Amino acid sequence: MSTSSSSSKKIVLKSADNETFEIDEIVALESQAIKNMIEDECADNVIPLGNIDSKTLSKIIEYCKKHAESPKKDDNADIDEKAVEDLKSFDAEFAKVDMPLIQDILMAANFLNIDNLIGLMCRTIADRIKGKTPEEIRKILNINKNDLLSPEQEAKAREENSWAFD
Amino acid sequence: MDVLPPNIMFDIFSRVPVKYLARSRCVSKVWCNYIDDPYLTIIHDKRGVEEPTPILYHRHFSRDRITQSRITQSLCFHVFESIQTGTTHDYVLKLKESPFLEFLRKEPLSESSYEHIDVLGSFNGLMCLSKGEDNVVTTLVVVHPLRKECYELPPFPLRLDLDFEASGTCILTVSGLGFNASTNTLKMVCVVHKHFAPVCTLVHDFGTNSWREIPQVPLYPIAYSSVMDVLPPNIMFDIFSRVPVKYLARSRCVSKVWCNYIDDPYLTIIHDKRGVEEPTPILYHRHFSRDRITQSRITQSLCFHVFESIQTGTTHDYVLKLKESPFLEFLRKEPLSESSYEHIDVLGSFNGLMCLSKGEDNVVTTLVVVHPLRKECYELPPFPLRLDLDFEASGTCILTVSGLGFNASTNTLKMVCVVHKHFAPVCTLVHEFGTNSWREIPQVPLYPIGEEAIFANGWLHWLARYSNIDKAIWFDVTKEEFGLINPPKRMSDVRWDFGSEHLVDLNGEVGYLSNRSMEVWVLKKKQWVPHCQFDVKQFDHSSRGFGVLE
Repeated sequence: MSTSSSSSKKIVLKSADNETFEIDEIVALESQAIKNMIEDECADNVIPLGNIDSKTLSKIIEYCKKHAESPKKDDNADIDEKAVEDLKSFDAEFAKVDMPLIQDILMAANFLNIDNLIGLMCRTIADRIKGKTPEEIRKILNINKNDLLSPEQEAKAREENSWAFD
Repeated sequence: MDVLPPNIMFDIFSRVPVKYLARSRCVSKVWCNYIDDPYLTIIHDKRGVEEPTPILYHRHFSRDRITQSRITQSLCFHVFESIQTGTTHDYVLKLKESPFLEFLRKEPLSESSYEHIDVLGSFNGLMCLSKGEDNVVTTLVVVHPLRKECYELPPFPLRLDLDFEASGTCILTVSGLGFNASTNTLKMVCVVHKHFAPVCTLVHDFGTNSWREIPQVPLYPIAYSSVMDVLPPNIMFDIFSRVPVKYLARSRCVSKVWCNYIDDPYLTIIHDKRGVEEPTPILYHRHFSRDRITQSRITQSLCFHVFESIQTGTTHDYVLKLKESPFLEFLRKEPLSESSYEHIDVLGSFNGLMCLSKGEDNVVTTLVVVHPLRKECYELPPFPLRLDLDFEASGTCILTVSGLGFNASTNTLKMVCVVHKHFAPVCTLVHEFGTNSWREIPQVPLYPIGEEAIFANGWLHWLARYSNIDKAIWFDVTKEEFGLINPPKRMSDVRWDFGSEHLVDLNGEVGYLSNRSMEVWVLKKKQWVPHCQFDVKQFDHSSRGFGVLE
């Protein structure tokens, strides 16, 4: 798929639970943080990721592989329409996970600085907020009960934004 | 019993339900000591000999009977009995008695102060509560509702705020109660957060009268239970920036933290850049009310109407239909005298905010910023100069230009007004939202400026209005400096007329539009870069002030 002539170099990532993942360098370069480490030549053979568990890391690698394989938008004028569609449906499938995993992926993507993935996860959470009542949102996102507004504050907030509850 | 070793004694007592334990306290001194030992609480709860006693707690506000003003807030505890009904797994919880414990503050509150009682956590039948007043935590208390015991913790060595409103203050987000088996004491651990990061850890050993700080803090902010609370602010803003404003407004009452994020002016800015919104066409017009009898004009108001776009038969045809009667009317309260003449003018708009001026008899009286969609209105402080609306008396000060900008470093909106006299800029006044004054800054623009300001990338932009100068003027909202941008190089040789150029908002970038040649440039690094050119033949040359939509 990709031009694998120069990208045969391998990078090894180690998760918090000591599982190792060997991936092509081009896949690892999807992460701006890892890219900077490689460019600054401070990446050893194994990059330890002490705050990402293996379940999250394997999801992230799955995402980076797919996106590294796909042609970049700014490469050429003639973008393969089918590849774009393919990537879209991959992203849609990828986002079909439960909230705790979304959170883990988001924290890890933020740490690894993978812009597209941060955007995808944020969009997913935003989509789950849309069209819901405050009660439903509290349930879906497990909002801390100690952080709720007082009954007066909530009544005031509803009054101020009454137009949004039509 | 006295010869039995302590481990056996504890074993025995741990199998006795708490009600009978409490009775047994008066059997003997030794028994009393065993029963009061915190270690017993721990092993007792592990044993699970207790019939679970469901306890319901709720907040209760007392009101003064006569004035109906709120006096105290208390937390009431009720015991429930579980009564088994017909089928095996069906229990009905029935209120057993009136509240058996009320936890409240003794001194009545002043009418204006606001009091919180919050439950921070629970452990082994103990509940940790915080009392606060006016957003500051005043006391931490541990209660044992079943035993009706209350233990007040020593005063906290730091000022702790309850809300994120003042984001630089310390927030008590997490506390935990634990038991140290080696010293046989309960410990309370509080992790203080500031700017969403843990900054210090304080420990209190029960029985002592102080808190002590320990050297370690947790590596990450500690969440409550929610998925959302551990996400860093940049991610939270990213998420909220993708939610349409209607659902954002609803989500304000999801929680306090959400409310603070949604009310943050920074969100407005990135939200508008994202363009997730279905555009809501809003029409505004001036409306004069007349006195029914005398038919004299009384008030002038600006009405806002929301329109719905309804797709008709063909694909690209939309009809804008009035959705409701005007949803916001902006008007002056006092009626006008018959002879006076009133103006309401739109000075500019930025990110869904509109800046309006109200004037009477050629003098600007008030400047107001409205957010029509949110039905919000912000009145600016009185202008320090007398501003005339007309050029009639040319020696007076004229408010020709104002711009609304956003200072990302301080997270505030700024309003900039350039005052002209004899067609020349004479002074620049700046108002920072939230303050109650205007201040004059040393710089004025080099040339007189006209038209609405366009805000993009931290700068306000105007077009110079001075004979053949077709330069643009910028104003750095953070540094409060003016500067010039040279006009773009023309692509065609159509003659330019004075007044046929405009600055336009191209989705967050500044565009330079020539109505004559139908060319559009976009500002990149202080240079105008060709953007597009429309086919001139399709347009009427006299069309003025058209905008460009991306």
